[in-house]
Amino acid sequence: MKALSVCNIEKRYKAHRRTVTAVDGVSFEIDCGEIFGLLGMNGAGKSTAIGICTGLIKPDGGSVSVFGHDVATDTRAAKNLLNVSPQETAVAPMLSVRENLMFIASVYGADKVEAKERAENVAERLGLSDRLNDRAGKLSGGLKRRLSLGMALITEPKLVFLDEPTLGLDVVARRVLWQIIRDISDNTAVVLTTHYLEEAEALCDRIAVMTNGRITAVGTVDELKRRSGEDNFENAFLKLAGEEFVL
Amino acid sequence: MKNPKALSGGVVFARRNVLETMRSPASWAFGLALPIGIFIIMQIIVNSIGERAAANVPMFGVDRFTGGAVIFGAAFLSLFCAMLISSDRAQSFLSRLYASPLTSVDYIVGYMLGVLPIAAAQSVTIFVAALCFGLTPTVNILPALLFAVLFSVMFVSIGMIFGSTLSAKGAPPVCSAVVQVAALLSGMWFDLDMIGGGFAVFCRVFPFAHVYDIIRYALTGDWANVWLPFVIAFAYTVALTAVAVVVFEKRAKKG
Repeated sequence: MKALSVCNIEKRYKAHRRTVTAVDGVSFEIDCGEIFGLLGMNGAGKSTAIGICTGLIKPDGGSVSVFGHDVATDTRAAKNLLNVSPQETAVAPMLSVRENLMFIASVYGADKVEAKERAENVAERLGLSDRLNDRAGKLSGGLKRRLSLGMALITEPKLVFLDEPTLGLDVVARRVLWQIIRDISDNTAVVLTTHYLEEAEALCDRIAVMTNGRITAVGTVDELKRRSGEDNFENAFLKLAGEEFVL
Repeated sequence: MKNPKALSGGVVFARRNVLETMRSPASWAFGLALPIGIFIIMQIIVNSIGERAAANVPMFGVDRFTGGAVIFGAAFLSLFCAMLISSDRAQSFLSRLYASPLTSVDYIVGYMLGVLPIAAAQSVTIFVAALCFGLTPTVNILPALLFAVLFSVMFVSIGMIFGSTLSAKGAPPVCSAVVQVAALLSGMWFDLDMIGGGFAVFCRVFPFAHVYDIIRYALTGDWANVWLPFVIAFAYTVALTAVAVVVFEKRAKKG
């Protein structure tokens, strides 16, 4: 069974008396244990597509299913299997690291004992064990990102959406998160959006390039390079995204 | 992962909101210290100007100003609720939760219950302070306290509306204005019966003066004068809560 099946989704918005098509007939599928990259320029429609996949945004057309559960009609079952790490760190600043982790576990139905146990396990996995009692709002940017990822992982999702998870991190913190993402992909399908092309190249099994609400290419890094006729992935991406700045 | 021992989503979310609000120094400063401080200062002034002078400003007497302080404090709940929701939106905390199995009811219950403990603490503290300044200790304090907590739901709903529609920077100043308007129109600073005329009628179009009257009359056991303002304030509370739910859900669907 596919971890995620996206079939012909569409989303249009009204803006300044005109209709803007944010997502235009996007379809793709992701297997269990796969890291799938969703790349595109700003405004390409990535965040809207992820919003539709997570049930946050209602599409104008098409369907999304998570392990066979339709996100629109079998919402609760689908949502129990997925989790999200949004672009912003999205932590509760006045709560401790432990309380943030336990809160998300409890939202997904864990009792206090189970939530506490999971919080400690996730914190150990992400190197946050010695910060469990610290207020989330006092953490550094890198640690907040790790906590945000931990909040996405504490429910042991079968499918996780990571929206620019390493945005603004230094190179060491970024490498630490890369390893964590690689580790979780053993049991979890990962959808990753990023503007760092070396990150996509290092982590993703397959990549979809989105331009103006459409997917213009899908494949492995090597396949995308071959298709574009470029040796360098950045040039390949720019070419497939229809940009003119290929060096 | 659902466990039979697990708490409902709304209660879990409310617990988070209680912690988030109670740990903010602004909650203690504006939610408790400011209304209590104003109440105590006014009582000290009234006690020091002598009985004859105090008779000219009956609204500052302990039996009436208690209701005013309750409204003033409760109005700050709109600010706390709006700040909580607008910052949850700004930091994408709500986006994370929208992807979870929480339902619309869980969000509404969570935000409501999350702020109400402050309302209860606020009202109890004001009534205790009022007893210290000579409020007659009767059984009427209990229903007055219940009314205070009940009608604080109205202010939480106002906060939900502004928190759902305005940005994290826009919501706090608007709700600060709500606090001032509620205090001004409630009649806590001047006697509406004494002023009369168009302004008094205008003030009574809004619910704040009615909540003030409910607490004032409940404290003296004047139940005949409680029911009409109760009906009006209750209708406002129900209507504002309904609007808050619709606005919040509409905003949630936009993502």
